[in-house]
Amino acid sequence: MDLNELKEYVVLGKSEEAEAFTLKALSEGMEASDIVNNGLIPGMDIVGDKFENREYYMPEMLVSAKAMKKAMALLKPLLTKSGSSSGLRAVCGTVAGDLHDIGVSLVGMMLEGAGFEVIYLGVDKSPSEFLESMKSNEAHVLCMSALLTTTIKNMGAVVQTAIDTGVRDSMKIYVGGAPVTEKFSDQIGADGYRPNAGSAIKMIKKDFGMN
Amino acid sequence: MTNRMTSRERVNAALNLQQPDRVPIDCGTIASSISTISYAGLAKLLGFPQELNRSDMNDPVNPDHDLTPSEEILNLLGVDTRSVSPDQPIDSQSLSKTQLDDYTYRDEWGVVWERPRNEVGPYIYRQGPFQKSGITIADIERYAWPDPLEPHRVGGLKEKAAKLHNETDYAIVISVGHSPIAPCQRLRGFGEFMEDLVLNPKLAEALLEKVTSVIVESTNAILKEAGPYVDVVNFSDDLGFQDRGYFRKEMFQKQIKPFMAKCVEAIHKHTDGKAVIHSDGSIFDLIPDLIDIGTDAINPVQTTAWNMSPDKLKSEFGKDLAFWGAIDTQQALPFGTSEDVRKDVRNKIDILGKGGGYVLTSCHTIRSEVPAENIKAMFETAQEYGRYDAL
Repeated sequence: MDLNELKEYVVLGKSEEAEAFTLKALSEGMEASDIVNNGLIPGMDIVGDKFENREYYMPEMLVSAKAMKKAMALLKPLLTKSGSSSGLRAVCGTVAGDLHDIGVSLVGMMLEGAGFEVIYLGVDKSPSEFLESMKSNEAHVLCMSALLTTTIKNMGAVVQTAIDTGVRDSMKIYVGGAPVTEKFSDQIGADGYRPNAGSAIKMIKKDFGMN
Repeated sequence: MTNRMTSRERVNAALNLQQPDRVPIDCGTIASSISTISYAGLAKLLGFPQELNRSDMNDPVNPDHDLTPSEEILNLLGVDTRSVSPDQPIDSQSLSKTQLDDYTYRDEWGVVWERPRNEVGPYIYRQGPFQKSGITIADIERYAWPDPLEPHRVGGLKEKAAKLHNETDYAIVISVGHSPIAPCQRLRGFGEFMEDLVLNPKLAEALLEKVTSVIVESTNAILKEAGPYVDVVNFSDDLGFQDRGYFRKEMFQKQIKPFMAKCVEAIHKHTDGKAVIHSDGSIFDLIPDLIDIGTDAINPVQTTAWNMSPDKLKSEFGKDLAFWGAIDTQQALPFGTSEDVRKDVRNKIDILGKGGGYVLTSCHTIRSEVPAENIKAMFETAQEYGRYDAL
């Protein structure tokens, strides 16, 4: 079976076809990690590029991510103990005082599509809640989002708490959201910012030596 | 120098793409309010500490909400607009909501709104009645929709609007609520509605159709009372993110535009007032279609979003469209110095105000992180610098 077909289903957002293909591939003895690495991840790479180039907008992105997630749901239980094909884990959430989550959810979906195991923490989360989740999940990446100018300061609080509790060096912290800028990310000591999910995943993959 | 125009003449000239005596100033009518916490700071700075004792300043279930500044403060700020609204509009924050606990309420559409617990912040919608799998067109058709024609919704509106029109010289602004996208997103879920547009367009169409019919009926009822007395009719939606529109242009034209067109049509049918659409975000590509359906002005003109430079907006659309807003609430007002704010105001007046066609206000609600000095600087500079005979 040709995994390019699965890649196409992801790019075109064909959930049922992606799911059916994945079931068939598994039944024919294909390895789950092979399906992820050579079918889903390349598909989501293309989707990320199309999003970055503004060929895909949010509706198309979500539909592609849905196809990926449908296939991934079948594969996840079969992957290594880490639950991902890369062994890497990310916690994604929105800072205290803020309930907006569509952007960070999209980043989470893209990270899954890049081979990460993603823990969706939720909204309105304090520094201790973020760092507790990072600890209990033994996660490598923290992605934080804020939509309100009133709440972006809470991103700085998370970074500072990580420094104060001696865990800053054990993780990468990325920030995003409408009022966030690269300058702000540098100011608070985060590891990076990008204006959209596609370019964010590229940055994260580069930081972790993934192609 | 004395003003040569009344506030109403000034705003109407700008919306007619003519040059008034000075750039008109708005506060509090179209997503341009000040919220409780920042208003407290401003009132103290301007010498009105008694404002802190207003009954709406200490709402335990909504501690940080938009409010209308006092008449004294509005006059000090040079504000040319005043708003009028129905008592019980079909709106997510109308009086008919049901408070579920201190942090949650359900609105008339059945959408649940929540505010953060970890820190004081605004309510946002969190769960809609159609936000689950297996929703069908039949579910939409048999749903208990709020009734826009109940008489109490517009009770007293005609008298209020007539009084403002007859007894003041301000430009009167009325909001007719939202145009269809926002209610659909709230009812169905933001992501879910987006997916429907691709995967289940008939369901999206059915929802848009039903929501639009409620909005149009509501608009008709409101403007039947207030139409002769208002200068501006606003409805709100969001069509863009920070870095792009919500939809590709082709999707917008085919699946969304026809419904927005009905909302604008309802406005023009019942009033000579101008139709002003509120949409946050990067919407440059969609503006020609908004002009096409009869939009007279756009708000808030988020120039910090992608591809929304004031120069480009003015050169491309200035002959067909007025601009309402533009003073930056993402960087300058909250995090800049007062001089940064002054610079922003002068810049926007120079570009967007050239030849008229611009009503100045903040690019969104002025929230708690904006220093009072910056708010003062914004309105002071707008009054000082906005005179056309001095430019």
